[in-house]
Amino acid sequence: MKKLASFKSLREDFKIEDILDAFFGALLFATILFLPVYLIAFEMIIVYMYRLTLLVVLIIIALFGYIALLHYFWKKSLTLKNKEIKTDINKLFLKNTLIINAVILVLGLIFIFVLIPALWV
Amino acid sequence: MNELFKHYKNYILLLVIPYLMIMFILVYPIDFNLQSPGGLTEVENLIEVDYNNDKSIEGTISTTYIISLKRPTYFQFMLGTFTDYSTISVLTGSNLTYTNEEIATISYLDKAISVDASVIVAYQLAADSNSDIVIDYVAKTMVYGKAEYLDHYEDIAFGDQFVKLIGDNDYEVTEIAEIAANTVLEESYDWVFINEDDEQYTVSLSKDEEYGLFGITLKTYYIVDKETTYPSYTESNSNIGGPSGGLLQTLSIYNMLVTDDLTHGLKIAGTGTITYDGTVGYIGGVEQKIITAYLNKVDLFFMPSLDENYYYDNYQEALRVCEEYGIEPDGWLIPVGTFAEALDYLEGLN
Repeated sequence: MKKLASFKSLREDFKIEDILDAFFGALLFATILFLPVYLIAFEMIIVYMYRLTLLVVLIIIALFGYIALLHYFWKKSLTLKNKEIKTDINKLFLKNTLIINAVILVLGLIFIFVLIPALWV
Repeated sequence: MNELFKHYKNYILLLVIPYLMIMFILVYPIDFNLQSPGGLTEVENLIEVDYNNDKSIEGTISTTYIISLKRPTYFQFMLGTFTDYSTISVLTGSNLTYTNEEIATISYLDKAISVDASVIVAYQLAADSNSDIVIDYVAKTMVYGKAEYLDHYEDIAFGDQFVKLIGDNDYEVTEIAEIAANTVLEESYDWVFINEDDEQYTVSLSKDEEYGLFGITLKTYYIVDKETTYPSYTESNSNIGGPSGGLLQTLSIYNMLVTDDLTHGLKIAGTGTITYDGTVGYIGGVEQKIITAYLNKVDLFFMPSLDENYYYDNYQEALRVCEEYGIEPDGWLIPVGTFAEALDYLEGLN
């Protein structure tokens, strides 16, 4: 039987509290792991301000990594809670990751081409 | 959440100490000053004069900013050593006693004062040939420095206006030059200031036993009276501080007031403070400013010229930097001692 890949089907596998618990656990893990990465990126931007655009690109890539890691931990937490998930969780979370990363890419490009020139007055 | 902790328990225990060490390197500040190249800021984006609105300005006039990082973290310190463009020095003088927030406040105060000085100098010169232009300004004495031993340290803010102090024999002192002569008989005197909310307040300041001083530095500045000055101008908020944009701000404002375009289509940048008589003053961070201009491919870079009054020479330092990085200074690096010299140079361009 073909597995569904939607949050609606995920609700049938888990209670909403379990999904949220898994999400906040993943958020905590991903944030703690990525905190040094963001501090490094932020401090690099300050010291190498003349390479600002390049560094913003690196931050966007780091954000992609953060979102991917967040979904990885979220998925891991859910599979640890229930090993017999009927939902195609890999497909669902991949789709979700790609959508969020597309939004980050658009916001990042707006930052590079609109906000950076406007902010540095 | 608990299942994640259980699943990764061994990893967490293994990584917690290295993680804390990395975080320490990333957040712990050390008493150094790190300077790196920054960028250019077009003065038109900072100050807009409502005059000659049909005039087309082909080129650009920009100030040059650098990154001056007081108390970098260990990691930033290491980053600074990886590039030839950065300079690291030990934090000294008042920078050592002030917090980073106080240093930033002084820097923004310097910037605001330099903009007013630029407006005054540019308008005055433009008014010589155009009677429509009117410039009015008032003198204000402001708090510019505070020693650690200053009484009411937290109550008195940088930029607060000094109004008066009640000196010996109840003499009202309003001038900086009169303070020392009229505060001899007693240890404490009442000082009156106006804060940024225009509220007047009085504090009693005592002389420090060791230094015999109150521990406050005052400076007199001229602030433009925007009500009576014509044409009007607007200033945008700036997140860049310091007074070193003075010369270029003055050039750009002057260019907005006159009919000819001084830029000749060139990308003009530079550095140098401006005083009320049009003299161009010395600046810090020469190396990073030259590199910033070079990386941003400017056509002309104005620089304070040789001044015998200084033991440290901006122009010689700039020439050394040009040689080090293979920049041809002839026709690119323009030393000027006054605003008029910069103007003469631009007017002399074909």
